[in-house]
Amino acid sequence: MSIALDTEQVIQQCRSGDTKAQRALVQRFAQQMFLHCYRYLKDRSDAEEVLSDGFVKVFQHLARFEYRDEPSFEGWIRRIMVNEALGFLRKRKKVVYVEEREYESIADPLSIEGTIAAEDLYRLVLSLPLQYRTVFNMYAIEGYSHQEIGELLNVTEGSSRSLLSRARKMLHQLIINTENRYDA
Amino acid sequence: MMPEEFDAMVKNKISQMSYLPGLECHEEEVWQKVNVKLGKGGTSGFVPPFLFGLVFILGVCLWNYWSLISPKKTVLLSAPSEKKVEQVAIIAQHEETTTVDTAKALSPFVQKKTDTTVVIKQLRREDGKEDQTSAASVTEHGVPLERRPEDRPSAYLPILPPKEQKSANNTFREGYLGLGGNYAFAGRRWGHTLSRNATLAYGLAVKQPYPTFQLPSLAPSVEGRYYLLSKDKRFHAFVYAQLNTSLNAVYTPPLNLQVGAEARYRLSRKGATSAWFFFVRMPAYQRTIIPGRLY
Repeated sequence: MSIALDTEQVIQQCRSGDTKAQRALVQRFAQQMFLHCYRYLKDRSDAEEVLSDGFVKVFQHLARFEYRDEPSFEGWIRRIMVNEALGFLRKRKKVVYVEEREYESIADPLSIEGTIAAEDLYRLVLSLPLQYRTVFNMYAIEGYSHQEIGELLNVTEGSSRSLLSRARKMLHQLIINTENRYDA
Repeated sequence: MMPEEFDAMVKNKISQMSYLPGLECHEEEVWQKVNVKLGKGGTSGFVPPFLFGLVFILGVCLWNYWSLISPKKTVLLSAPSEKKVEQVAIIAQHEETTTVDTAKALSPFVQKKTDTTVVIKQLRREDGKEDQTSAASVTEHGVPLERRPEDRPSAYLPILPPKEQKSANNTFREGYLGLGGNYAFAGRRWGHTLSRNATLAYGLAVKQPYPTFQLPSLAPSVEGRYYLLSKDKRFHAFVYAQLNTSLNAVYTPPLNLQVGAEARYRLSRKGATSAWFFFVRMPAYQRTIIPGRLY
């Protein structure tokens, strides 16, 4: 089966249990979703494990998914993968999100040129401490609200805001350093 | 740049990415894992057969316990000599490994065994209480079963048939054919008995994926077993931990750790030249380990 097949058609075949279609779907989205999983887990074997579990969930719930267009389908898969990654972090890594009392303003202007390459930015996000990285990924990239983050990570909204603010500052500084290296 | 703009900039750049040098996803391996997990119906689909298997094994354990422990007293009382022969047979098996000419070495003992048996029978007939004769009472009558160890091998070695003599050492080998969720397989294992309940086996299998027509793969494996039900019984079961790999994987061969249980039913008679088993293997936990990719 060609990978270039229409996504909707592949989804229909997956729903009927067609193994080749399932394989095509995995091949179509694996690399992209792997990067999302890796962004949370920072471990290749863990990311692949979560990726495979995520695809199993995708196939199990595909019958209930209402297809509109490819971006919405991709977003649905991505949400499943992120939830799987968060579940993995909770179970395996036993991350403790320390309650941050200090609330820092998020309205400080951040001065960067924005010329940093996407690959470098991805690696800088990876270099953040686990707690900061998780909250930053969830809020800034996945679009979770602080309330949702608080519920998923079992922290207060204030802590979520504080962790996000610190993550931003740290990332901002890393970006400035990298851009300075570009200029030099 | 405001924080919201900062977030948007990061989001846009990262969301556009679908590839990062050095972070390539091994799609084939991921697909194989997905396929295996789907074959078992995923995590939720795995639980019912596992529970069924667990209940089945527990049932077999209970049945085995019930059928062996309860009548055991009767067996011991009515035929003490036969029971002892079974126990001593194990000793004789160990000794057999050092014997050069087994047949010649055994020949003088055959007569002794016959004599001993006759003595026991005579004594019991004289007593006229066959059902109540115990090992202790036999010893009291002067038959040197327990108190004179130097006589034991000579007294009981001859009961061993030649076939059991062959299996008297601590190694075994087995061939097997099977069907899994996604593979048909055939293999051969060699094993060592570590203790009464534990064995270590290593082997090589050929796996043919189906229904796809991929090339068959060679899968060497090492496994440790712990017997829940003695392997001497017709029905036996063990838990195992197996480490296997596939030699012709597309990428670096991943190691696969599998822990589970296997139940076997011996189809052939005990002591037959070769034993035939029907077996069901139930993996309870699987984990793929990819060496050298721990970053």
